[in-house]
Amino acid sequence: MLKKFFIISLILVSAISFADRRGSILSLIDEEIDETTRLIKEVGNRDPDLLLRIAELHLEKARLYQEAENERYLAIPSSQRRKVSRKKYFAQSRKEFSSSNKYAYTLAQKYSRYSNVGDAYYILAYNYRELGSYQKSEKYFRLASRKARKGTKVYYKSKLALADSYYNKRKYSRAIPLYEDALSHLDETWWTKDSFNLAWCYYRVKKYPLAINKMKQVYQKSKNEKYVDMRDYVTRDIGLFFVNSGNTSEGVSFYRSLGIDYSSKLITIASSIIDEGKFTQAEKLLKAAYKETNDQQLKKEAMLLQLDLYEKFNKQAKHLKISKKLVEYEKNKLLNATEKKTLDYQVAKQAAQIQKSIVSGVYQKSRKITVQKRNYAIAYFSLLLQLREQKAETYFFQGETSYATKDYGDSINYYLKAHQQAKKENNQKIYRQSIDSALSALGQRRLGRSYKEKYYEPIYLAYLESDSRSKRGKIIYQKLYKVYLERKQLDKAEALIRRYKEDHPEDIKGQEAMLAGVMDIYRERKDYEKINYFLDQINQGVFNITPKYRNALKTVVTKIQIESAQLALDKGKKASALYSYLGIYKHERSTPKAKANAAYNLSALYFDLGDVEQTYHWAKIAIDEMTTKDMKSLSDSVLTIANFLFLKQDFIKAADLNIRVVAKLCRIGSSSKETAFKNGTFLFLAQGELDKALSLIEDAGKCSISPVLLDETRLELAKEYLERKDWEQLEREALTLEKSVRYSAHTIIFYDQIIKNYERINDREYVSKYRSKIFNLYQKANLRKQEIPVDALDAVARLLTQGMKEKAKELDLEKLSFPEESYNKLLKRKLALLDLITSDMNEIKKTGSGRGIVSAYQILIQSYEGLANEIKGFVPPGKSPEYRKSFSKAMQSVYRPIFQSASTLRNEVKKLIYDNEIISLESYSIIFPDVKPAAFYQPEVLPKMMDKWGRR
Amino acid sequence: MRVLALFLLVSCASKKVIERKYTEADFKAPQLVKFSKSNDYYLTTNPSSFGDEAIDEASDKEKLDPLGQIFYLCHQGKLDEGLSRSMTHFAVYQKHPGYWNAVGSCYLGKRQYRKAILYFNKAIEINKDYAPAINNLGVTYERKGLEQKSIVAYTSAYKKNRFSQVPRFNLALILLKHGLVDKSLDHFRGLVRSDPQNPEVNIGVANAYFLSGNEKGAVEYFSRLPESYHKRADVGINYALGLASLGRKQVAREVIGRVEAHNNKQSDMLNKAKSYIAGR
Repeated sequence: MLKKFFIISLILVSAISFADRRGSILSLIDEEIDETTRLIKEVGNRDPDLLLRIAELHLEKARLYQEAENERYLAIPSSQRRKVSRKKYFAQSRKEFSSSNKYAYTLAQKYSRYSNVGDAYYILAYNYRELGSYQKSEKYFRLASRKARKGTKVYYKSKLALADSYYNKRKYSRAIPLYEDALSHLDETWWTKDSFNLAWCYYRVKKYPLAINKMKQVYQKSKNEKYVDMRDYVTRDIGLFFVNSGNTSEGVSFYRSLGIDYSSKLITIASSIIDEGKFTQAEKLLKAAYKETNDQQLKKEAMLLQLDLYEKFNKQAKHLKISKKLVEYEKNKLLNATEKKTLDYQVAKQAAQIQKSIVSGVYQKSRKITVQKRNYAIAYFSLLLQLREQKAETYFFQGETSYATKDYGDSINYYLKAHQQAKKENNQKIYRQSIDSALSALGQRRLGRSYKEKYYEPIYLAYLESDSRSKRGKIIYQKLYKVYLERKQLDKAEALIRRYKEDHPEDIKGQEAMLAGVMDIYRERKDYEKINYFLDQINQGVFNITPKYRNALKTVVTKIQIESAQLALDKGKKASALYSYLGIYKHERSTPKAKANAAYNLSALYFDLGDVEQTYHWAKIAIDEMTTKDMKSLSDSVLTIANFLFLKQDFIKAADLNIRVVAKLCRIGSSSKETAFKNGTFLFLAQGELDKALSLIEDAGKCSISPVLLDETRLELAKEYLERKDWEQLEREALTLEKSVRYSAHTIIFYDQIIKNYERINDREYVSKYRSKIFNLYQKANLRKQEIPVDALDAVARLLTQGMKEKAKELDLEKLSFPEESYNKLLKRKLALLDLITSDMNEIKKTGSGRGIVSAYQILIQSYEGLANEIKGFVPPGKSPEYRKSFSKAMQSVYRPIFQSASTLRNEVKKLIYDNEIISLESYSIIFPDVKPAAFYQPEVLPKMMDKWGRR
Repeated sequence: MRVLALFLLVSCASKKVIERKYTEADFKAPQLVKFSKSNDYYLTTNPSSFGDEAIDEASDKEKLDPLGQIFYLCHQGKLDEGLSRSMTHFAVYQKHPGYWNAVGSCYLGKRQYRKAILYFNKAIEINKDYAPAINNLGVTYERKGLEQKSIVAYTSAYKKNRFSQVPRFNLALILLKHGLVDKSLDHFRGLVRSDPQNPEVNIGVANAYFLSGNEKGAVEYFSRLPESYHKRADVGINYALGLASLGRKQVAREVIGRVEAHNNKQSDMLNKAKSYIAGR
């Protein structure tokens, strides 16, 4: 019944328009439903056939409604479609499906043993599928296949439906027997479609031959109009089956037999499955496609698709390999613009991604992987370089990649290429970045020495090409200079200095330092020609240098000039050194410093020879020509030379050198200056050149010679004046010396002599003036507790004894006389005078002057003895003998103690004389008062010279 | 140079300096003559006399060493020759104190006391115990009238070598001159003990005795002297006064006669002595 109905339906469909036809069919179905419903009611729902039929009718009705609803639904603009209720649009069909279900369910429930109950289950399964309840659908298809009678259509259709369900669930193994059984018994329109599914099930379970055969069957049957035409699908998919079964050649034959390009199909298949994640299959297809075709276009397509595939599945090695092949194509101009663009995109993307991952440190834990990735990135960038016209950036990226993996040597190489290329391309950004990066890489500690040596120069030069005047440029200049210097590439260094001068004319110190380095090497090489060349350049103003450096340079040149002589000297070849120095001094190119040095050394060498004239001659030149600083450092040696001249008894030359030293060191502090001054003065004094000595002392006062030393020399000068009895000069010097802090007391000696001179001409005023000065100086010295020379003390004592002498004279002049009253008065006065003389002597004793004390004692003793003798010898005139006798007796008590005192004083002074070996002309008369030879001829024997030590 | 101009430079720059050719051999340092105390003496027939210390009494003057030759020349008054000779020996003797003593002695002879002192001090600088230079410093001081300093120098020289005759003699002499007769006499006695024949020492002892009132002792020592010494005024007069004091007027007159015969000029001392003798 059902089968009949379906046939009717189909006929109708082909005869009338679909909408009209649907309406007609629905009317027919409604009529039959009405009829069947009536019949069911009549039998009280007890006829399962009728229940089945009414379920079928509702099902058919639901299908028709669904078709209409579907058309309406799809007619809604997509933007609105989402807003409308699907349930509402499909309400009629759903109602019918539900009605169908209701009857089919009732049937299945009530009549489970009904022979066609399988049909009811089939309807339920179908309806639930349409309603979207797939689980229920599968359940009822399973029941349908079990309950339907074998050999019926429903039985096999249920199996097909169940197989489809399993197929959709990818349960291929379970689907296969269902398909096989159903398709072996059914031969309907959809056989090709279902068999196509079966072929795929075989393929999925790797039953490739069955899969391929089934596909071939489908293809063959599709030729028949009876069946759904699945040929396009077969040709689409069978290639994949051939490839995976390993029967590519069979596949080729198959397609060839169909007049289809196999490769193109494979490519198409691959393209379709790539998105499904079927990497292996797609790869095989594309490889096969590439291999099996001679069509370059297909080959390119296959490769480009491979790139896509490998990119998606991150197969870098394979991607790179294909990229390289494609780049070869591009080199042979076999890629069109789009293909080239795709290739560029792929290569650039890979390069960028790998570089990014390297830079981000993804692989930093494994050097091996890092290296591998670096190699990939570099290779990709290399490919890009072949693809692109603008290469600077790519080179730069290669550098960056190598830098990130710490392959600094390589990175520098790439940076430099980038720099050069950027210049050509006028890419300022890369031009700067590349050289900055190269500098950074160069500065890495990890970079090997050999690399550094290799790249210093190119990098620095490259940098200076773009930035030579900045602060950094200045530093780079200096670095490059250092490199040249270390390599002893002096021509390059020189050229660099010249360039530096142009770029940094203000940096004089920098130029100096550079010049110094070059000069040092020429000096080591003893390349005097070159050194002179530089000197000329400096003198011509080619190089800007400071006066300070100019001087330093002169020192260097001087050193060079004196080197040979110095060497000879070091080797003990003094004669050779001497003539070398003579040569240096006479040479027109010799610097003043070299000349001064030569002169000094000549002086020293002639000193060794004992040649007074030459020693003096060269020493004089050396002092005149050397700087004050040099003089200071060499002053000890010069003083030794001066001392040598003194030892050679040439006082004038010795003094002259000393003066020159003083003059040279005049403005600076130096102990040598003081020594030279003292020596010079003493030498002049020894030579009797007092005017010169005085002149030296006066001039030296302007050279910060210590006042004490000046006074010391003035003192010596004054002594000489005294010896020569040059009273005028002595007086002048003494007046100056009187103000000396240390030597003022010494002036007493000179004043004492000056007084004697004035005494000689009886100039009392000056005598008095200088006496006062002496006593003032003496008092000051005592107050200051200064040491007073013995001669000065003698002088003070001498002046003091003059007072004593006057009193003694007074004592002696006024003689005792009578009358008695007068005598007593006179005696009393004399005794008082004696007391005064004694007091004077005590004052003199305080001076500590040996001679003064002896002299004072002498006066005192004589006064005592004189008075005692006068008293003892006095005879009262005109008096009786008794009176005289009585008087004499009375006077004994007066003069005896006086004699006694005189004797005590004599013993005191004798002891003083002997103990202190005081030499005084008065000593003799004190010690030997009783020895009074008529005369004594003072021996004329002079003290004896002692020439030798003697034998004893 | 402005500073240099301040100074009165002696400069011998105008003098033409002759360059002579030198070879490496000229630079070879000469062998220096080192000072040896045991070899520093003159040969003399009387080992105890001043002769081994002072040139005037040394024998065999033809056999003198270079330093002795310098002393000899200067002693003879050939001062410039002596100094010139010293220059020829500078190279080998420059570290020898005796050399500088010789140079100093020559300058003392020239009365250039400062130079003499400088060179004597140079000798002492080389050898601080070198008694001859110290003695000669004393002599220089004495000549300059710095007697106290000369006593210090003689004493020091004497203490460096207690057996040396010259410093002790000089010390005795200066002490006598300044009335320290007892001390002087001690030194003279010591000297006469080691060199009894030395006329200068005997004169010293005699004078010391004379000044201390021991005319007998004085006459004894004067009488030991060879007659040739009597004509010396300082010896003859004092000898004659001593003789007269002892009542030996005749002998005193004879001695005075010798003095008078030898000294044309009549001095006050001679007249005084003559009247003293006549009055005895």
